[in-house]
Amino acid sequence: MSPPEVLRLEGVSAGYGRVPALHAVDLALGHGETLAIIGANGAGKSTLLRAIMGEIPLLGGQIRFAGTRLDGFDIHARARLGIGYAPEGRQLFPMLSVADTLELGAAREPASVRRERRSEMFAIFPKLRPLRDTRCGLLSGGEQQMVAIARALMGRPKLLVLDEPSTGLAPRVIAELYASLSRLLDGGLAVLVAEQNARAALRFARHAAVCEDGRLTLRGPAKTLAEDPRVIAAYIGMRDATIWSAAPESDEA
Amino acid sequence: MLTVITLAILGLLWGGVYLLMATGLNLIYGVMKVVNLAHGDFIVLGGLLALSLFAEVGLNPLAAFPIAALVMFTIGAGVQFGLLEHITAAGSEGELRTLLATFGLSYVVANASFLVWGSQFQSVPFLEGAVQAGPIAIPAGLLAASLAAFATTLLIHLWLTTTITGKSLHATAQSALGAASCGIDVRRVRMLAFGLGSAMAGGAGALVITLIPFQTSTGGELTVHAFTLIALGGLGNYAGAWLAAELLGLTEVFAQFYLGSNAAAAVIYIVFIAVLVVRPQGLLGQAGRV
Repeated sequence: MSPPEVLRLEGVSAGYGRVPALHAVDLALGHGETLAIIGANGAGKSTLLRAIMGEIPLLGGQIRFAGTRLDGFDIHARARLGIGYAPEGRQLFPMLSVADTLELGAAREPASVRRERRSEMFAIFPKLRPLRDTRCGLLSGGEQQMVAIARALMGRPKLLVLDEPSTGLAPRVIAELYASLSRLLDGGLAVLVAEQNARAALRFARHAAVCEDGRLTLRGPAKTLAEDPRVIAAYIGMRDATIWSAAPESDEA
Repeated sequence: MLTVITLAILGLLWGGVYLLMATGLNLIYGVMKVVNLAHGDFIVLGGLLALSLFAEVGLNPLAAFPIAALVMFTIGAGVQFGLLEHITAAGSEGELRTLLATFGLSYVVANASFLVWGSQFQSVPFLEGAVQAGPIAIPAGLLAASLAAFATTLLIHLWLTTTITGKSLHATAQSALGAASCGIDVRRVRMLAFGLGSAMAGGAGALVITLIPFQTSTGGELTVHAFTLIALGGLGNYAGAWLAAELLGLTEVFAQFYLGSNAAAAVIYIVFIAVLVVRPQGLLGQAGRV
């Protein structure tokens, strides 16, 4: 891990009500690093991200962001500290335009800064530019995910947290989305992405961890994990091997 | 023919007043999915405040309007902060709980007002002459109240649709989690929305008390009236509420003139039911949108 640490989790347990869905997870992410959390549906990936964002309270352990303990910080306070979050299901504003949605991502900045950053987003995601006045509810799934990520980037985060960005997207669109993300990494942005679609996530991230039953069971460089038969076993164990084996080759582009 | 034109003008003017009475309720529902059953009592309280300002300080209702609005803003924001924020839970159960809480609140407000102002009908005399436009005479008080109401609802609408704070209200209404991940303090936004909605009730009261005499128990009736209007327009829909307000204003004025005031009250609900039979989502509401 490179020294200026962005995110550190120590013994984090969390869940819904009193039943933990996440058991003593340790995790660290440095400046500019990319980590993919992969695993089957219901393995606890989203729970992990929700705990990091403060959507659900911790049952144990602690989370630090850039050295600051996050206890007592609400979701919006964590966002303001510099965590860009694209939640599961995208959570866009269906009746607001793309332009307005992006502006809201930097709601606390002055108007000139908001406009400037919005232009930057249109440079990163050129597909969104002609859609600027379109309501988010009318966009395709891929476009919506781009808006969700662009909105999260509007606050100039140090860490980008993405929950299942590929859900419901065609392989070609997923490849396109991750290609846009890869271009963002030069600026030192750290990315934590939870994905059921292990293939796409492992190609994008440098490091990866497998989440099973609320624990991170396997870790390592993404390239190594991509070859590891135990990763496939983790999916088959969760009766969800299809995502792995049935992903068509067309997304190599 | 002259009568019909006069009635139409009166109806449209009353529509503006109804719109102001309902917009606050609509705003609160739109942002928080809370139907504030104390809304009518807030209107009455605003009116009675204007009455006291008139009786004690000699302030006219147009000058009392911003003061009543400010007082009700504070009360509304306080209610959201101290009461509703603690009982909102996700899902339909949350909606039921807030409904019960605001139902209780309506009694608290009405009875507190009763202790201060008593139970008699009260009104504030204001601009009792008429404005003559050619052969048509329009009551000056209604004209002033209606213009103030239109101006206020228009300003609020512009603020909501063009400023970043206004947009963050919409954002919070459409996805609280999405708004929070933008760094928007959704709790503060809800306080602002409830405060603003209550302020509009208070301001409406200051104007309406010059047109309709208030009693501390009038609140329930006004809540029903305002709720009818936003249900008719499509809950949470601003253009729809405007259309519904004009429809109700026209219906009421024409029914009162041709059928008498007792029948008028019934005609309004017949129109309401007829619209909902044809368009259950309201005049401009979208089917399936929550």
